Amino acid sequence: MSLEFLIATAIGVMTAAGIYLLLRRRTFPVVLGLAFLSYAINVFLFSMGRVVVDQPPIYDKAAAAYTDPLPQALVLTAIVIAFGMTAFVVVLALRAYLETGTDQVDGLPDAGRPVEDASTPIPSHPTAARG
Amino acid sequence: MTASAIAPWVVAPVIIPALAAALILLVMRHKLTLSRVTTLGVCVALVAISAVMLGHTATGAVEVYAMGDWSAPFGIVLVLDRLSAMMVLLTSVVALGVLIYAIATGLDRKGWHFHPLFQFQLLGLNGAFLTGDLFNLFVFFEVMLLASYGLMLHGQGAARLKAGVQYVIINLAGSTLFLVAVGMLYGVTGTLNMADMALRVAAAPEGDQALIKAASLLLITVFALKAALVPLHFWLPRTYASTSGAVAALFAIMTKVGAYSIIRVTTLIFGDDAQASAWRPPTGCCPPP
Amino acid sequence: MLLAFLAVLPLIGALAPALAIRAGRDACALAAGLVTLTAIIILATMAPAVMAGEVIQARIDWVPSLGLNANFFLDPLGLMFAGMILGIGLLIIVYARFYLSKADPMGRFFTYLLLFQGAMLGIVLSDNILLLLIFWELTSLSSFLLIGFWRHLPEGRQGARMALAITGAGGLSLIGGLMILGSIAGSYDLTVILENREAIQASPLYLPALILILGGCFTKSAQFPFHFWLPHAMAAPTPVSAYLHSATMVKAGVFMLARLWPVLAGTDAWFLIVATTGLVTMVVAACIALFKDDLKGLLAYSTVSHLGFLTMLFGLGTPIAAVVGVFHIINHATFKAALFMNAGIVDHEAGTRDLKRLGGLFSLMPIAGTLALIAGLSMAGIPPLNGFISKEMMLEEASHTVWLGQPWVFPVLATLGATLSVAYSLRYVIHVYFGPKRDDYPKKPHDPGIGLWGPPAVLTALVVLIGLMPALFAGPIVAATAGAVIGADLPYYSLSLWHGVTPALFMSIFAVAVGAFLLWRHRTLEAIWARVGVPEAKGLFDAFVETLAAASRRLTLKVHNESLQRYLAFFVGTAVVVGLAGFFTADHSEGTREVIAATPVAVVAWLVLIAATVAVVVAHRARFLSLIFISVVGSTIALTFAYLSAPDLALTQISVEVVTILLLLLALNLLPKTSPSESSVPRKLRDGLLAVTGGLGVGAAAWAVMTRDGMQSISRFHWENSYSGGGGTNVVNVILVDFRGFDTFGEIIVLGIAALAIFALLDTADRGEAGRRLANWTPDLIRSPERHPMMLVVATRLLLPLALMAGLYIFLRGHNEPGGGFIAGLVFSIALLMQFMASGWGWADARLRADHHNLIAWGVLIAGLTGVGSMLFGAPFLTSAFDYFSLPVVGEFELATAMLFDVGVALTVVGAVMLALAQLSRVAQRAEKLEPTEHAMDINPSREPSSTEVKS
Repeated sequence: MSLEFLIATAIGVMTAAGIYLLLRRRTFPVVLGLAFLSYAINVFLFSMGRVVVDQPPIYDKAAAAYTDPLPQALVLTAIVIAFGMTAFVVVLALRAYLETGTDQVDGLPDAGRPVEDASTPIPSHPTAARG
Repeated sequence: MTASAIAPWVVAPVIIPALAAALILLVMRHKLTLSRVTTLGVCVALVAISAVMLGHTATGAVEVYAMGDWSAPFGIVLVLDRLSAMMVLLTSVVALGVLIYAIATGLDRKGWHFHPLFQFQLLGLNGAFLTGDLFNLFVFFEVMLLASYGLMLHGQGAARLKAGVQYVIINLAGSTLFLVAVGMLYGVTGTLNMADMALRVAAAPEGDQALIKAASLLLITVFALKAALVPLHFWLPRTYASTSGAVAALFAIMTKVGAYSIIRVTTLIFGDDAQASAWRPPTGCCPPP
Repeated sequence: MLLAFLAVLPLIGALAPALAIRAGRDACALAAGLVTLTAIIILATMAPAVMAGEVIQARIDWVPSLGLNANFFLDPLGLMFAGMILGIGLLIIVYARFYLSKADPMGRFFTYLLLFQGAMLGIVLSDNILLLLIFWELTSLSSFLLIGFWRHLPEGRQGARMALAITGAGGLSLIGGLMILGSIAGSYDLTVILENREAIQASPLYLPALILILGGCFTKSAQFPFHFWLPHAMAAPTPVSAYLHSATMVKAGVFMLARLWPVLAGTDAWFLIVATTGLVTMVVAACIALFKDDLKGLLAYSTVSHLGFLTMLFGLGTPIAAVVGVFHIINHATFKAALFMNAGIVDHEAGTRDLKRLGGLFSLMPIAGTLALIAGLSMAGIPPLNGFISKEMMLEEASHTVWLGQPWVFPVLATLGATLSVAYSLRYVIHVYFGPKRDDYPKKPHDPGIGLWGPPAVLTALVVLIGLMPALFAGPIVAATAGAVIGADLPYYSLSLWHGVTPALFMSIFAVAVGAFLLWRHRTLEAIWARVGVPEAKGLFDAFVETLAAASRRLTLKVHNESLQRYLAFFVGTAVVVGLAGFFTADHSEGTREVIAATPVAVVAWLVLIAATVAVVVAHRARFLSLIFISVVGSTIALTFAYLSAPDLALTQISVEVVTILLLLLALNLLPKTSPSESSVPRKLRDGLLAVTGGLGVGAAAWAVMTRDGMQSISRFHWENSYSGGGGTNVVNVILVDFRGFDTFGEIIVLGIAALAIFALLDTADRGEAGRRLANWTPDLIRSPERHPMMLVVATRLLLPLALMAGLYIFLRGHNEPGGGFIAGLVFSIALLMQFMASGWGWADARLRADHHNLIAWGVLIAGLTGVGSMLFGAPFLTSAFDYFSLPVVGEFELATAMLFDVGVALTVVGAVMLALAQLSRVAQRAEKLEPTEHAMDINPSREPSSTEVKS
């Protein structure tokens, strides 16, 4: 098993987890999903500079090889931006919860109705519910 | 690269709002009138500067401004051509109108930090229009988006907050995809500068085409999300409907950033010499003049 | 160029009446009239040349790359129409001046009228079909404004809306048709298109183009079954009706038929569609007209009927029929405009337009009566008036037209149409002006002033003159125009009253006789008509629009169900499909880069990461638990970065992780602690499928890139110039603060905005609905009895200076070793946050007077000004400078402007983090209903024992 394989699969698993959580119905899991996506993407972006072990990008004339410093700089920027975004979205989720009393994201009232599949028609008024 | 009198002004639409926002935050956070005068002044100045810049580019001149004096493709460059100059002018004009309206209706009084957020929004927009670097475009997208979140939620209320949650989350998902696409393009071509990427895409080996094409289409998907193209348009109606009128008016220019980026990327990076990875709307849809 | 000026003159001139109204109604009308008069004079100067066979052109390149140019040309057809548009326009302006009451906003009226005039003029003068389409749409828009001019009347608004809907839809159809035509001909210039008859008629796209173009023409010219909008447009003021429905708007469709006649006519499809539609329209509309009691309604259906008449003539496709068509365009414009104005006079003077309430007006209004008599007889086709001649010629053409092998269809139906036409025309004249005088008119009728009867009198004079001497008054223009329509030599024809004893003569005599009989038996016919009950097109149209709106509302609400899940699913799905489609439609080869064998430690880390990830997904509804798992993921990633030669990333990741988790914990304190189980199984499967394909896609992309060498990265330059050009050996840091300092500048601004937005969001959290919820909030977790544990307080106090030192160290060495402003900022923040956590925000806030807003502002300002500073030396924004200094004890050290930039970064980070967390904890504190305490510890040995009670 190669290091590259481990990294690629880890990225894949984290992305999948991120997408799955992103599609949940409450703000908190959605925020976790976004956090997962940003983990995955940070590692992904980092891996775009290829994988190198034990050669930190500290300049030395004698160094024969070096790891690509540019993706690292990009990831650093991406981490910071993701941090700002996560902080904001967490607070927004909290604030919306305080204001509306629900942490749902599908625009429905928090009536605890378990139906959420789009293929199940949502009754718009009582008469339609019978049909 | 040509050194001309206009060159230092290329960076002005980015620096001026940034410094103005910081100043408003620092010394006039509690002084509404002063904040208003400052933002108005900045907007008027931007209209003037961008009008001059548009006039300058009318001849077809292209100004490349190397940030930190690091020449392309190694540093970040701003590129001023007719299209970007026009977009910057458009932004300034719309912003001026929106600002006057917002002040007249007292929108800026309904919450904190309207004026700094407004300046940051302009900074993000102008940066996105001017930059010639793909990753830098991402950064300015984020500046623009975060400022837009703040403005969108300005004044608050339950409906606005609920719509805001959707708007923010959708765009965060979009930003994630942006990074995937930029990362792949860097991984294959080894560059971030758009013009350099155009050359490298054209010269890329046959076997790299699939990755380049997939990445470029993902990039266009992200821009399509910002431009609210079907079926990625869902976020727009509710967002625009639930925010204040003035902010919605300013947002009119935000979808254009998506459209602008599609134009930029398809013609610049994936233009005529882009081999199999080229993706463009079919040409020949209209007869030759 | 004069031509281009002529085309836009009314559009520019439209401003004049709007401005002149301030000087009074006369000035306003005068302004509008002068604009039109100027246009007429310009046209007149060009007329001789055009009549002599010259085609005047004006070409202005607009968007040549799209084939869109502002090209105009004036040929006899354009000249005739332009003459009618402007000439009748001038008469209408005079008439409207006296027709409109004081309450009507006249400035607006004339502005709309001139706009409309300009649009019409544009249609008939455009050479470029794209330009023509723009003007075409402009007529729809400006006629909407005119028809709905009396906006207080619901009929006016409805009529305007209907006209806009129908003609607008037709406009779309026309656009499609003309685009096809343009692409067949290879040019959007009419003059070029008109020369490509063979290519167009041979093209397989001929029929679609034809149908689309006819869709535009038929809707505009109110042909059956699109005829119903026109009568409803009668809600407009009468001058508008007179203008739109005699000479202009509805003639635009006929104009298009005439204009494109050379390239489209002559085929079977053309004949069958156009001639049949025209014939049916002529008969149906004439029939309805006979039973309309509203004067303008009668005239409206009569207009539709006559448009059918014209359409049929152009549809016949023979040159001689086209000549008759051209001739009748002129005749119809003269008598119909006169009659509309006459109807307006009756309405104005008698106070009603209802035929059932009128009659016997001739002796009261002799002038209006005479004019109506002449114009009405012309419409009926009675000699010696101009309507007679063109009707005669039409019947002549119809008499030898064979329709689908049936020679009788056209002659019979055309005669029927003519008969009905006689009947309704005579009805207009007789039922209004003759018969017994009544004593119940709503007003006292008398002849109006010359302002109102003058304009129709001019037209009525033309009716007589053309009738008596057709060859003199209409001959040249008909000949020239017909020549332009046909595009070839004219056939033999004669414009005269007497054509000899022909079948047409007998048809005419029959029509007059039977028409008079029908009018005589009108009451009986009316009863039958009422019993049959013809469907009202307006009702059908309204029902259709209603259904359409309801369906679109249903669809919109169904698609836009406000569910973020759906929107995100669409986004993820689109990304997956687009990415895969892109990947599998181009060449891909496996990478050849050598891979690195995984060590056991790496495998263990991988297992931990995967396990924690799966655990988060499985346990995501238990929110605290999932937070713990996710922090395992974050920490593992930090370790991975350290292992994979990215120490800066590892430091950043771990410090961001700490702050993020802290933030999530604070928020979760107030949020529900669990998510209910609500997703159905199909939904989970769908989400799972999206997740797995998305994950596979990204993972595969990472694998594909990591295992290939790719092109030489630009980062070689960064590596080589880091020390010499950037003055640092930590290449990542040099990239961040120098090579790509602009990114970092944007990045700290993002952080700053986030903090500001968070502040603004939470500042209002204690008001309104949210405030009530906070006030009613009860802790749902077990509280520690110790609010500020002494151990923690003491430990953090001791750690503070150490942490600050560490932060400073990280900051200073950042340029050369892993570290830098951002990480330092985070370390500072964490050190401060620990104080807050240990001793409470009240205590810590009182001791840290730094305003977080100012920190952010200073940060951005310092970073920005460092960049601007370099501009003062003539270098671009953010250009760095550095030098080495030496101090005793410390030894040699380096000072770089980049370091100043980094100070800005650090300040912004500290400010942003502290602002966000302080604001969040203020909300939490409010919810917990805790008073900020001044004490650093719950148990303080130095305090009196009495104050050491433990708060619960």
